[in-house]
Amino acid sequence: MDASQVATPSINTEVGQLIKNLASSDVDIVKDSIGELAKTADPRLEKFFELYRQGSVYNWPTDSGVVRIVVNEETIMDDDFNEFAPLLDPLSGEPYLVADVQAKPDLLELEDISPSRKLRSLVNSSKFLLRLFSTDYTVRLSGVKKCGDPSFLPAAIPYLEEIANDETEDEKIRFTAKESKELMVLSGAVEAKKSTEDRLFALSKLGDLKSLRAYARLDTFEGELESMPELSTQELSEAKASISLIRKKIQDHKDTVELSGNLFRGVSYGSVLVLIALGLAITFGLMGVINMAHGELMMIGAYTTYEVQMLFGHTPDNPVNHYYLAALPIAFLVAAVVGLIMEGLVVRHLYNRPLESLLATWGVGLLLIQVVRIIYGDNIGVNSPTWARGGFEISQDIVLPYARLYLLGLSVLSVGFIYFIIRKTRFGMLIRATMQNRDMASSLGVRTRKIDRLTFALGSGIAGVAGYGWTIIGGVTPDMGQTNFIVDSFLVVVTGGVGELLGVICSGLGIGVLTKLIEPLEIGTFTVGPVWGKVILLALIVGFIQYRPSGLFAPKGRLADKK
Amino acid sequence: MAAMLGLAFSFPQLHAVKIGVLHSLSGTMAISETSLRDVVMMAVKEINAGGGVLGEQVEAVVVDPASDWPLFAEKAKQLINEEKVAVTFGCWTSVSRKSCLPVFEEENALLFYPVQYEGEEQSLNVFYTAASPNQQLVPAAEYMAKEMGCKKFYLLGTDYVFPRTANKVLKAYLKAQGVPDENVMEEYTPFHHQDYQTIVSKVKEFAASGDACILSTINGDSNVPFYKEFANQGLTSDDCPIMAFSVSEDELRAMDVPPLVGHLAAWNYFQSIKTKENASFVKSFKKYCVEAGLPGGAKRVTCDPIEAAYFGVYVWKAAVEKCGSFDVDKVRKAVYGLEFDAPGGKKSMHPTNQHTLKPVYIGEILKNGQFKIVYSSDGLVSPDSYSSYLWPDGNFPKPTGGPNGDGSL
Repeated sequence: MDASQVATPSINTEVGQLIKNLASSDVDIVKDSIGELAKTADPRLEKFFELYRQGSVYNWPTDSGVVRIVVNEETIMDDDFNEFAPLLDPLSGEPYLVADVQAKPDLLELEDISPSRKLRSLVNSSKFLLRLFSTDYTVRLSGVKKCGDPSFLPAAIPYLEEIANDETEDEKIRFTAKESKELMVLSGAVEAKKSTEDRLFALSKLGDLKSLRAYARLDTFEGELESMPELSTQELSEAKASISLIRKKIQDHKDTVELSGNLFRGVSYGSVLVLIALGLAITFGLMGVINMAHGELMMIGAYTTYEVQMLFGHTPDNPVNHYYLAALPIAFLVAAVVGLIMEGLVVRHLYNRPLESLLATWGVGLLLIQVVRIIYGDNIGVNSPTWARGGFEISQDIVLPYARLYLLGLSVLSVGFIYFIIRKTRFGMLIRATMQNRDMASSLGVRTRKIDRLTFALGSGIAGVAGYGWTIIGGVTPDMGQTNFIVDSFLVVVTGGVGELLGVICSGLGIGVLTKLIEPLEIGTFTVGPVWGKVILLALIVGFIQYRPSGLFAPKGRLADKK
Repeated sequence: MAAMLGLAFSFPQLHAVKIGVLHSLSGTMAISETSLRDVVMMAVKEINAGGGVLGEQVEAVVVDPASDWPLFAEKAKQLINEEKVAVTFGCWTSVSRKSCLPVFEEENALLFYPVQYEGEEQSLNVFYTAASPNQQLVPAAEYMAKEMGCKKFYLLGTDYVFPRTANKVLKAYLKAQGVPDENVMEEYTPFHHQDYQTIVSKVKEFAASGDACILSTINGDSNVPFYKEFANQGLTSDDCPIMAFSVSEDELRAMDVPPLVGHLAAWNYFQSIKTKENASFVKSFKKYCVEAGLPGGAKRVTCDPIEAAYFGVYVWKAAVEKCGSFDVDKVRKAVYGLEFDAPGGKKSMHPTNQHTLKPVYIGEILKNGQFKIVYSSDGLVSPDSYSSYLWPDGNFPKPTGGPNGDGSL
């Protein structure tokens, strides 16, 4: 087979020739070719360099030894688990065709041409440089940023200036371009602007930009100045004074970012807590069942989401994002049905015996865990819909992740849903009547058995929704209920006041915000961190419960009647 | 699974030698340990098909210590005293190994331990077939500092003995390399920690200078929320690469991989090692999982502990055949210095310190949940049972256990 016949069109260009040189055994030829390739500013090369650096670019020589540069990222296996390497065209990323079919040779036929260690950093910086010309927003942004990170790319400065002055360009990218350029000057990476004045001037510009990236480098810069013999004492103290002025300026911005970040993270964590406790607020709060299988009902919701994902065929390579919306009602229904069955078989016999209900539901939980483990094994993954990745920058440096925003919305929606059902519908009225005074409701013709059953199913369904929401930020394992949820949800419900929806919301958000304010605290050299944060929080809650045994809001409903 | 558990109660066959398998099949550690049980059973099946060991069929006695540490000691006792096993393959967490170690030393029995750990131990009753710290931690930190040009290191781990000791070694190494203290951060989270918002935002601040990386010893189910939060806050491997010591192909099965592309892991084996032997090992493991009807089936992958558990059985077989006996003391002597072919290539056992000489690999996560090997050591790296970074004067503690119970041979 002759290479010239099988080569796909994109390779027959000047770029294609340069790429072929990469297979050369002469290091200088390879090095020159990398430089030449970077100069072409061909946006297709960014991806190529990434693959090349990683070692996914191979030479697949013909029988007569003609170089064919191909890409193989992942191998495939046939039914007998033999491994093959489907090849891609290095530039277009399309399948590499031989006689109109994608070539899939045995991997051992491919010759590894990955760059040597010495060349790898050159390839890497060429890659970042090429990113400046990408048409993809995130790629361009990361290129603009990386040019200003160590090890710096002074060659990018003219392009960065161009981008910074381009009014049609996105604001964030223009900002980062300015920042990266000044950062290079600050770090003394730019030959023409190496003097202390130039560097201090760059720093003052970065101060105006309130650049957090510059803040992270202030100490290094200060240390560098101190070790410069040519600076007089007076110059040094002047320089130090201006540095501390700028430090103060950025520090203010940083404090604002941190505080608002912590508040958002607290609200976000709180909304997750509200969501996971909401179902329990019904089954335990309203009905008085100490439902230890609550976490497992959430797990059912999470696994349902996984099943729906499989059903829709959603994979990261081939996203079917609407699967995630479809999974919401399905997770609710499946968990509700499981709850219904549980109620019918176990819980209904134990309504007036809370301790037995604790043990029985614990047992049901263990059973559910083991069943799921046998069916699914342990390692399964729910792939988030692609829109849930990344975040929204609401103001400079404050990023709200989409996944968190979605959960916040889901939480509000679920609370609204429960409120609507309990307060605004006939069914809700019957629930309240039954839970407040069962005998009276029954004598007035309410079918209390049916109400019990449906209420338990409602609580279980909401737990399923929580499990569904969880998949977007967390992992899915059979024992996720026991390890992650059961303690937290009881904590929220008990602190909030058993039987009161408002209590759950207040305590969930309160615990969330408090945790996120305690966790980052620094006392001297000691950082509180998650371990001590949890200890302090639990101590606070214990103290609070001592002071208000019935939680934030006094209980109403069946539990209260018992007292 | 029932059939395998049933083996514990099956009648001994004629001319059969018993071996013990001590891995959790329920509880929190089942997620990792079940795979090791599977691969040991596969090795036993292969050995039996090839005529057994010294002409005797191998009979595996599988017990379930249920992720309950004291139960490991109890089950080990049962295997040694009641089942009279010749050797035991088992344990994952260090605490489970520490729990049953006194039993193995008291009875002078033999344990093959297949998981990378923090070192600081050398019992003559254990053969450690996975990495000691200098075969995983130090080369990885070196790679980050020299190849990736990182100057700041965020040591992030789950709060238990492996991460704490590992970070001690890492800190000592970084200090020796001249990394100033303020460029090294250390933080721990409880087991099953799920909310990484605060930590990731701290990492973001730490990495703003563009030359930082994370050395992660986060274990188990915390990895999923950690990596998800990392990606959701807009960080990528370009901004701050994560070098993980407890994330293998098996863990990646449970993760949303595309946002993780480019992050790294250090191991002594990857499924993507390109050799004929490895290809056939991967093939047989997948086939075995399909035929045995195990969850995951053909989607199952091999990883470092799976390889280490697998070749452990063959090391024992080779040693038995070398000395012609099942006697623990003779087998122990035969293991020392033994050279053997593992799926990932040639390896050998250390002549004195109970550990294994292995190559070190560093891999970058690919879209398909496999690793692209970007670094491999020149040849095999000799294991240190005690880290020279923690014992700078070289006065290592003496080994423990053995035939005389005092660490002497």
